[in-house]
Amino acid sequence: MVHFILRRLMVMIPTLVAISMLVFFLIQLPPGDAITSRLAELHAEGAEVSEAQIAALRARFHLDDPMPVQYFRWVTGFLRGDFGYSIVQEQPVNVLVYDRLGYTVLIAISCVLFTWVIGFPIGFYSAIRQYSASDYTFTIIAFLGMATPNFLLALGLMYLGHRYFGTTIGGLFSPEYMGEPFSFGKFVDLLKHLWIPMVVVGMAGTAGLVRVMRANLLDELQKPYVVTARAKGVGSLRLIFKYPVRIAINPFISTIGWMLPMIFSGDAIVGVVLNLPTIGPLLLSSLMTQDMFLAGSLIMIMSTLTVLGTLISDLALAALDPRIRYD
Amino acid sequence: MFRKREKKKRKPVGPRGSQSLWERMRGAVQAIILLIAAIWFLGWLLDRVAEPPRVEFERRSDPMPATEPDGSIPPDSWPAEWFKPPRTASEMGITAFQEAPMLKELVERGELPPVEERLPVDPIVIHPYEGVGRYGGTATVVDHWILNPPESLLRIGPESRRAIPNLAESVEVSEDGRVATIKLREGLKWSDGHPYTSADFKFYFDHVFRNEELTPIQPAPLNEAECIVIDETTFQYRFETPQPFIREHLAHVSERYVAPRHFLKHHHVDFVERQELRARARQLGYQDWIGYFWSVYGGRHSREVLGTPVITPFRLKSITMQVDVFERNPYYPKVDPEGRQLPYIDRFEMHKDLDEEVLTARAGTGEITVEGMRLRTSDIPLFKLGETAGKHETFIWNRLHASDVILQFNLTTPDPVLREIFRDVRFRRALSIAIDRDEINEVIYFGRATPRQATVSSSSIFFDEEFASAYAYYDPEEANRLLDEMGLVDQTGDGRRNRPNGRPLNITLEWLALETPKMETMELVTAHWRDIGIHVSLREISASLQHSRSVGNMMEATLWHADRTTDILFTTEPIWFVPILRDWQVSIWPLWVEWYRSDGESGEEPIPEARQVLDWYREFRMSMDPERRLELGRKILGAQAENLWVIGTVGLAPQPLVVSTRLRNVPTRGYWGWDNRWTTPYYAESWYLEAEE
Repeated sequence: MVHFILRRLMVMIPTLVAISMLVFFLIQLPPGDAITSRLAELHAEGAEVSEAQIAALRARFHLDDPMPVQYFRWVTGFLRGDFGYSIVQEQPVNVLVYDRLGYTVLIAISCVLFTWVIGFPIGFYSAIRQYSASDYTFTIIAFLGMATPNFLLALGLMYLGHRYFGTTIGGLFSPEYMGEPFSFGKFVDLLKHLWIPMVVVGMAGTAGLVRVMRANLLDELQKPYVVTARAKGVGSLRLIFKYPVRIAINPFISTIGWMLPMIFSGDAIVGVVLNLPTIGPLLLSSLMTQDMFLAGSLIMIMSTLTVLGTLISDLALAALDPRIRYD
Repeated sequence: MFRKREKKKRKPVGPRGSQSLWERMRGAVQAIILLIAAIWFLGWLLDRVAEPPRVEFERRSDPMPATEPDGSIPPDSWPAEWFKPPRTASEMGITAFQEAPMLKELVERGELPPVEERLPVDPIVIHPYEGVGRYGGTATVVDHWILNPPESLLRIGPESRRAIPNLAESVEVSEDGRVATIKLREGLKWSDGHPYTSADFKFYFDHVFRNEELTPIQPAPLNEAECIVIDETTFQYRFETPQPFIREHLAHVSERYVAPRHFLKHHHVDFVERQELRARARQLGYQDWIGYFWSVYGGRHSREVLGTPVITPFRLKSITMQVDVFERNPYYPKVDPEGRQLPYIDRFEMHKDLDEEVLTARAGTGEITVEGMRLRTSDIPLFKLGETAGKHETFIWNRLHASDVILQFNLTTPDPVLREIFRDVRFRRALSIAIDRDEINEVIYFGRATPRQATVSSSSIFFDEEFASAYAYYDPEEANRLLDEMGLVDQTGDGRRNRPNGRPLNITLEWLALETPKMETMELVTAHWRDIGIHVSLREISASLQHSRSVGNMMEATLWHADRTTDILFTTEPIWFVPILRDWQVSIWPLWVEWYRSDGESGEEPIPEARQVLDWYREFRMSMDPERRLELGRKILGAQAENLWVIGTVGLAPQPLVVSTRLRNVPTRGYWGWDNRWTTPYYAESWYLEAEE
């Protein structure tokens, strides 16, 4: 197994190098660059921008160097843990990411928990009570959940939250707590706001989970080994948990690794709509403004996490499913 | 329990399909009934729980405010005092000064000198719009400058026409226009109590402006100036050429021409070892000392407040990820007519990075104390609707843009046939009179804007009714006639006019979505043009593309909003009417600009009409005779009215300003724009918050 892990880690290196090149050059493909986007921003703030300032900015960020030189400077910084410098926001990428990481992980993990806590039992219940009123109810809700765009749900919930519960529109805190240090009151306030992103981001996931769980479990329930076990008098619940459920959750284990990049970035669109201080909106805006070091570094971090996540998935799957062997 | 259920399910022998239809659908029907009942019940319950009350409040703004026929705001909308230089405490006979309770506490604890020592020798007295206010309160904003306007040497008057004294007691321009002598008020202080003097202007000029690392290419007019300190409160800018409009320029942006010397010299390469500065910069994550210096200059690094002194009403207090907190400047040099030091508001929070929709929703529910910049005209009904909660009121100000959308056909476009067509004045006139401006006004601006040709803003001294009405009427038949006369006829019978050689005439208009309702306007305008057989395809492009294609003379047509059309900026940068600027917002004549800038070395020689305008402009820029300047300015505008270098649509458009019902002293009418720095002419430092009930 150690051998297996080592081999996989070795393969990761060329993969990541290839990704880094691709990312760096793709971001610069469209015409223009971060400087012109910066100008748009300055202008929107009412500043007057001259050709002079453009030239100064280009020189300061070495944008006139040849592409390979710029790439090399960026990549070598990566190795030292220096993710470069955001041109548009005039701040080191490390600071920007570090600022948002906590809330991003908090929201993502609460979403995953929400998804699992709601999704698994419902999927399970739907499967063993196929075609009952409750199965249909959950099915309808699940389909609605999958079909409704997240941002629409977010807008709707924000409206309800404001109209009926008086919560601030968007954000994770009420205005009175925003500038304050963390306290118990602030924590309660956070919980008041956290449910909206949790439900919104979790909804589609939950709905998908319910459907997949139900389908997988139904497949298994029809198999002869279940009938045999039942005939031999194994208790119904115990039987279902011991065999069909274990097989039914295989697809989830194999995708567990994908959660890593998701936890890191959060949902960009929902983040924007709900005004969450997460990394998703940061990535989105950096791509839109061609802020190449910020966007490139974020994508690189996510790629690394994806590659790592896949490895974790494989390991977990092998541990859980005896049919899978290292080779 | 499960077993029983499973058995029941398996009872029918054979595949599931043999279950009766009802047996399979019963569950579905039950589920649908259940869901509908649940949703209905939930809705009923929620409506019971919270029915927001309608709150009646005394409205300050007139729902249908009177406008002059030319679209400008009547001058009696503002106190007469605002048009005159502000009086000082000694002129008003004020001898005793008071301060905010917050500061009094600090004085009593000995942490701050008494108010008399903090104020200048003779403080500026501000005449508040409604009356003397109350100290205290915390405001919520999304743009800090809306409550914390820049403090320049001079200030722009409420009608965006003249410059009146502010931090400078006077700005004298010599007869030949080459020397501007600035006399600062005695005893002004930075927010840390250090004197604010000529030396700070000199420091900015010598060490920031003239430093080639910080300012590699120096913009006009300071680029040809020298800064000379006479004494502590007097200094001069000496120019090589006459600068008749230097007062307007100083009123507009001179808050940038000063820097706290005593503070910044510890962070500048002229005073500190370069090695040491670089080490400091590296430590904070900057690539070089330049980035480090600019962040000290701006007073902030990441989440850290660097305490750089300011002269504005508020200073930065703390930074968090989503909120910046600003607190009052204890050394602010202005008082109200009772001798109480301004500003009235204790502090304000600026919420950052708000999504446009979230911001609109927050403003529409009264969660923001005051905002205008990022609110859209089309959302005015929404803001009005939200007023029933009694938390805010929507004031309708007017944007200073002489035209909200200004259409530009590139007169030096690469395609020779198109260039020939665009240069024919009949084409531009035809396209102008084909636009139904009244329809645009009704559909997009609720009839509250002013249909007009592209020219200066109505409040300008250069304004003439004829400039605004030139070819701004609607006459599609005449437009058709003009185009036929040019030989642009529909040769194929498909409803589109063809080029003279029979090829289809297609024009691509590239545009950038920024500020003003451009998309909505262009939907109407392209439809109007289709009616006369001119097909214009719209292509929305990104900011980077707008910049590179405009500067690179690659566009056929584009659009922008006509800012810089007041006496403050038309005088120094008449970019819409004279080929002097090649930048992302102007693509009327890039090659002519190059010709002008290179003194005829490169680019392309303009047509005689444009050369004439350039000649007028050269004289206009330097003439020290006000009569002659007025005449030349009008000639330049007359040429625009005749030639239509740019085509205007509607201007002086309604700009929503959502104001909390608690925020007082905000004028109900005003001009909104970069030309007058938004709230600066309206004394935002005297706005105050009423106590919460």
